Amino acid sequence: MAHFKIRREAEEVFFKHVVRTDGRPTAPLSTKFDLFYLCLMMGLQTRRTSSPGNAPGFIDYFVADYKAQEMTVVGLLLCAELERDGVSMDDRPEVKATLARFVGSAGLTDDGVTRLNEYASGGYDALVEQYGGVPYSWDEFLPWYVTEIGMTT
Amino acid sequence: MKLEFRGWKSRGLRSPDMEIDLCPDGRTAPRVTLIQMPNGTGKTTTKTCMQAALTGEAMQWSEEQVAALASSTGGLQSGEFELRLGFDDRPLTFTMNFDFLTNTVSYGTTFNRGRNDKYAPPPALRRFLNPHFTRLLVFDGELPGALLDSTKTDAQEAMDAFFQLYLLDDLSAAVGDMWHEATKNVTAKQQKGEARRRNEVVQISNKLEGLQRVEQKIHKRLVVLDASLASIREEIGARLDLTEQLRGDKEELVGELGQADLRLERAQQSLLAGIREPALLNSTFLLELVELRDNLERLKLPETTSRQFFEELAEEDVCICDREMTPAARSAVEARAETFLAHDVVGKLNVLKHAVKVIVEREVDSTLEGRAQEVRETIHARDGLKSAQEALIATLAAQGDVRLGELQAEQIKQKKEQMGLAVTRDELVRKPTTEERERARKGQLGDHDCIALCELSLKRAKHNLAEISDTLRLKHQTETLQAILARAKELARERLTEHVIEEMNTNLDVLLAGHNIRVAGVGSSLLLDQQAGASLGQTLALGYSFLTTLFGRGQHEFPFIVDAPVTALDTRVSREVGRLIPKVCHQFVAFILDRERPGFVDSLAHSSNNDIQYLTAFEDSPRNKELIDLLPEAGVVRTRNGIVVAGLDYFNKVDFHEDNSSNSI
Repeated sequence: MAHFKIRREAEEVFFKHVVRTDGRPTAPLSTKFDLFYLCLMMGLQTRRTSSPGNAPGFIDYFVADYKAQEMTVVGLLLCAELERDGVSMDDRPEVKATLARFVGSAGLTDDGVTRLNEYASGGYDALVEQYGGVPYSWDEFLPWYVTEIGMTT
Repeated sequence: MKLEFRGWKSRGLRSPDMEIDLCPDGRTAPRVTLIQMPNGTGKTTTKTCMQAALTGEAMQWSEEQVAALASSTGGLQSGEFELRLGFDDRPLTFTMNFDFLTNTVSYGTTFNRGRNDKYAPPPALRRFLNPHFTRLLVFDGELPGALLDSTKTDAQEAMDAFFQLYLLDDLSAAVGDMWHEATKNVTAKQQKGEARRRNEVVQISNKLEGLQRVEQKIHKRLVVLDASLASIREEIGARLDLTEQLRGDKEELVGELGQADLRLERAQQSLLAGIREPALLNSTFLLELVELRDNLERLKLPETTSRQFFEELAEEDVCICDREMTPAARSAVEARAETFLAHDVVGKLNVLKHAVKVIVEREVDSTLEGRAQEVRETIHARDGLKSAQEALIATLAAQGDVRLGELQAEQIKQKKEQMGLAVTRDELVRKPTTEERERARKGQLGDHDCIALCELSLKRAKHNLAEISDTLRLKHQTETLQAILARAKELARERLTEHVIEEMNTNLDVLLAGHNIRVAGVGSSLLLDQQAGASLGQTLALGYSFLTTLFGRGQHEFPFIVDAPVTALDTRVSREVGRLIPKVCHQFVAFILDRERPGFVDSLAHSSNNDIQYLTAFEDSPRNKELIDLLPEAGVVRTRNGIVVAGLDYFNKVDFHEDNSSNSI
């Protein structure tokens, strides 16, 4: 499976104070996958995509905290892509082709991971725009995030 | 390296058309070939063409120079000269095509089997084919005099070529090329650049050490502050305990703060757990997932049968309906298989549908927004308790507990210092961003106090210093090696010159017995010992002495072509020259006059063990009627206007009846 990617500036600038990436556990968000997930959900919710640029891949599977949600995330990707491509839910061959494109033996196909990376990148853009600055603590950011994504339609 | 003349052919030129084959047996040329030709047969034209064929110099000839080689009989618009050679036993041919309408010459080269429509000698031979050197090979009457004239020849250059001293120059040039290649991408190659880079390393090292010292100092101070603040907290607690009434308030506050911290931790965990469930993040997510599941159910996706079932069925001999699996049926089944999802994809989609079912059926005790609100409220409550604690201390201080007031002031002061130091330390120990790393790599960093960045800069500076240090070391090695090579060439020249002079003088003792002509040195020309000049015969003997020494001692084998080799010598010296030449030269070709035969020819034949070819060539014209009348029946080649006769009988028989006014010594 291809690797998940998170934009460099997301890790190094926006989430700098929310997550300590130097190994000092001062916040509940402590993995890159946490940051990727927060961006991804925002991207899937806003249907926003962009290129992650030259961001390096950091992992090629769902980490333990998210393993149970893997197929739910795949389901949300399918919903977003079916909608984006204007596939009618009566068009069985097209729906099946979309399923085959994004769902594979490992859960996600490489195409599926690539699209998730693009949604995560788009979601990061949305986060930066909506927050209007850089969060300085997780207890400030997470409640805001919950409210923001809950309100976003 | 071995170069051999195999023959030449001329047509339409000032000399009679002629084809001289120096390899009559089709293999190697004999050690000696004598071509007897009367004056006026075009020897000068032949020698000029030989020189030009070897050097390619005819491409630079003027129109007049070309026109001067046109056939004197007129009427011909073109001419040709072909020189056949053997280069390390492989055939090499230079062809010169004369266009007398435009008075230009074009070249052709054939080497091995390759044909090139230009002058293109093999690279290994090219260095020898310059006019200076080929004049030594195609030796004419003017050369001996030129060997004594420093403005006309370079005797030293001839020695370098014969003894391969040029290889030391080649090696030196190759070393220089290697240096340029190794340092072509290096920005600084001078000592000054090294000093600058060394300073840069020192400066960055100093800065890094300074930052590390500051960080260590801050770290130690923070440890002290931590201990001090703990002590202050303890003492404040102890003082609060002194007052019965306040002790109760304080214990209550501490208990509430502990509870608040626990509540906050629980709220955080609950919020994070909820965030990690997409369906809780936004109600739309759940609706979409349910809709997707329902639509998949309606479309009967995934199918209950997977692609693998049909793929396996296609491999059976009989279908499940008991009919034979014909090729057509197999093909149809395989095509059908393509329309089904793979087994593992089917499995994953069923997991997805089940996950949606679980989400829908699960009862959630609180909304995510509710959990977020709980976090906010808990934080707010905890901050309130902290304020209350501070207010309590302030109250006590106001009631006259001076020490408590001091402790509180000290606590505030130390906390402020702690925060300031923590910010400074954070900058010191922070991880550089990708952009900063890139700038550090390019040496474009601005002012900063980050240790990791400093380490990156130092690494880069050390790399740059190492690069120039390596470069300078390589430069020094290159210069040393080139100096050694230059010195080796100088020493080799000195020793070789001593040997050449010694051998030349030994030869001269025989060739010019009683003339007291001796060579003192070899520079751009031959230097005679206590004598300004020599007679024509003496200089010719000197030339032979020099060239035969080179031929005899040199590492390469070159042919030696001489026009009128002993015209200026008396019979005794001619005999000595004839005895000397075949011993040192693998191929000797001479254009001789009939009057040069006495002494010289016998001596050559004897010295070469009769490995000698006799040719007689002259113009096919009425003025040579006497020669034509004597032609033998065999061994005669006639062209448009030339005759070549092979054989010793005819060679000895002919008499050109020319004026015998030699300038013999």
